[in-house]
Amino acid sequence: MMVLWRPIIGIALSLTAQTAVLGWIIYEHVNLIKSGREIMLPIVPIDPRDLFRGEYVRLTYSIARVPTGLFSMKKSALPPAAFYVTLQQDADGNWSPVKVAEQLEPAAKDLQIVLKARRREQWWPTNGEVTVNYGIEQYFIPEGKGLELEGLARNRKLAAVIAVDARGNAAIKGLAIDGKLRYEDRLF
Amino acid sequence: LFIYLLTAMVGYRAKIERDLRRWEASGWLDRDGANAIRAELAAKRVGFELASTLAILGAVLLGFAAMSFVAANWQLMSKLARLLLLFCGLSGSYAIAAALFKRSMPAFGHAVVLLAVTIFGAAIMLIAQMYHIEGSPTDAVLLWAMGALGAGLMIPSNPALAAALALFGLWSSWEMTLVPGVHWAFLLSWTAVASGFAMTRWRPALHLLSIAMSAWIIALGYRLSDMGAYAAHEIVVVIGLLLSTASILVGRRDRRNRRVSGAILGYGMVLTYAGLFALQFIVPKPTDTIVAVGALTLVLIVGALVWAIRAGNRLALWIAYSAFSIEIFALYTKKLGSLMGTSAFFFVAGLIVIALSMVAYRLHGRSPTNTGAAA
Repeated sequence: MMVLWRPIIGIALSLTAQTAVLGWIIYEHVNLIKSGREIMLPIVPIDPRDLFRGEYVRLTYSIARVPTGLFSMKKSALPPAAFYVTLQQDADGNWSPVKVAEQLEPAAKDLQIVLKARRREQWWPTNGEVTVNYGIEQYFIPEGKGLELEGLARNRKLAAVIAVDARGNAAIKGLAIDGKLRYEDRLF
Repeated sequence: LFIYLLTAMVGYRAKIERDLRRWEASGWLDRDGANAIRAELAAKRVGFELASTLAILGAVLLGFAAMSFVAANWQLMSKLARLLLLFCGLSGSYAIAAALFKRSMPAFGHAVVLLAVTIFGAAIMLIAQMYHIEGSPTDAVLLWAMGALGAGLMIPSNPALAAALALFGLWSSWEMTLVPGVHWAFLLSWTAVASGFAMTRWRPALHLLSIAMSAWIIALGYRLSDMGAYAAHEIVVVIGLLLSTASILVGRRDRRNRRVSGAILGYGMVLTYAGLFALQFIVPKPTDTIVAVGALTLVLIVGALVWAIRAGNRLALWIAYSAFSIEIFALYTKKLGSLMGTSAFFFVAGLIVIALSMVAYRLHGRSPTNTGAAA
């Protein structure tokens, strides 16, 4: 009968480890949303009627297109390696990429912020711009909320409110319409 | 796999029934003895396997229910409530599994462990969805696979290990669609799962591990070829040939592991042919090379056929026949230079094989008792 204790101990360990991993992911994310610096990124307009139709939408930002000239290291920026893009805010409040670095460096100025990014495609494009992902491109539409969001977004300027932590991790906090936070995700 | 297991069980039962009737009729077995055998089979083997197979199927269904529950993104329940529900499901299924192990019902315990592993994956999906975490989606699959591996190693549990292998396979193939180059990390995960199966000594695991590894080796050929490596599909062919030769040699020396080496031979043959096929029909090659490789392939296939018949290995025979059919059809559609060239190739190959059949007939005629025994 002693043999049977082995699986039971294994089960207890598995449960502990798996719960701990899940708990840690939640903790990290809630921390990022609560204490991260907030920036507002306009969503590149697509027909809003299509935008909220599915179960989730792919959000496109103008900062996703980074000039190839900013890349000094070619090899290390190949997917899936991560790198860091520094954004700078202009007088109108718009953010645009100004620097790409392999290592995390804190932003030099107040009007700058550093985001962790990954290349989306494998080969170097010829049009002078590299498309990158910041991990904030996927937005799940709560079931039944699609129509409401569609109504809010019609003929208006849509932006995503993003929280960014000191390590360049970014997360979607909610959606802003005409510069005001109108739809905030509940944390729980 | 489950359908295969079920049919295999039903098939075994039917065969035993036929044999029992025959033995009874020939007087080798009396009625009581036969009935005792039937009763034991019904009670223990078949009934038990059927129950545990159905339990696994049930666990898979419940796991899919959990995943669809997450995908539905149901709003009548708050995020917190949904998360708590999944956490309850996770700890609840582990608790039930522990209780089943304690009551000496390990088969059901393993089924519930598989459910727990699936709920773990559903919880990862829910958290990613709740917080719109994208990161790289392959990382989520990797995390899930690690969870399954951890449970599989610590308990140890075959269904959890099998799930881990499937998830690592998904992870690896997904990574390969995103990142160019060879995905070496798969070898590490494969070794980890294999070490778990080595601990439990579960027979079907041999096939699961072989299928996963064969798929990776075939992909390796394509990957190396894309990278412009000096040798790509050639490596697959060499690995396949080495595996086949080694399994034949081991099978000759060690009769106890004959079934294992016979199965490994099958995978070796599939790998060899997959590599040869890619060399002839996937990679652009001059006609001369295709003719040379095609001739080599046919020689190997005929050799394998001869060996399979002599050794009485039906799996090898079946693979060789399939390879032969695919090969001639592919050569025909590929066209060796011109249709006349193709015709000449098939004509020569046909003559050679007919000559071989005559040689075989002569040998057979001289010593009819010798065939089959040579293996």
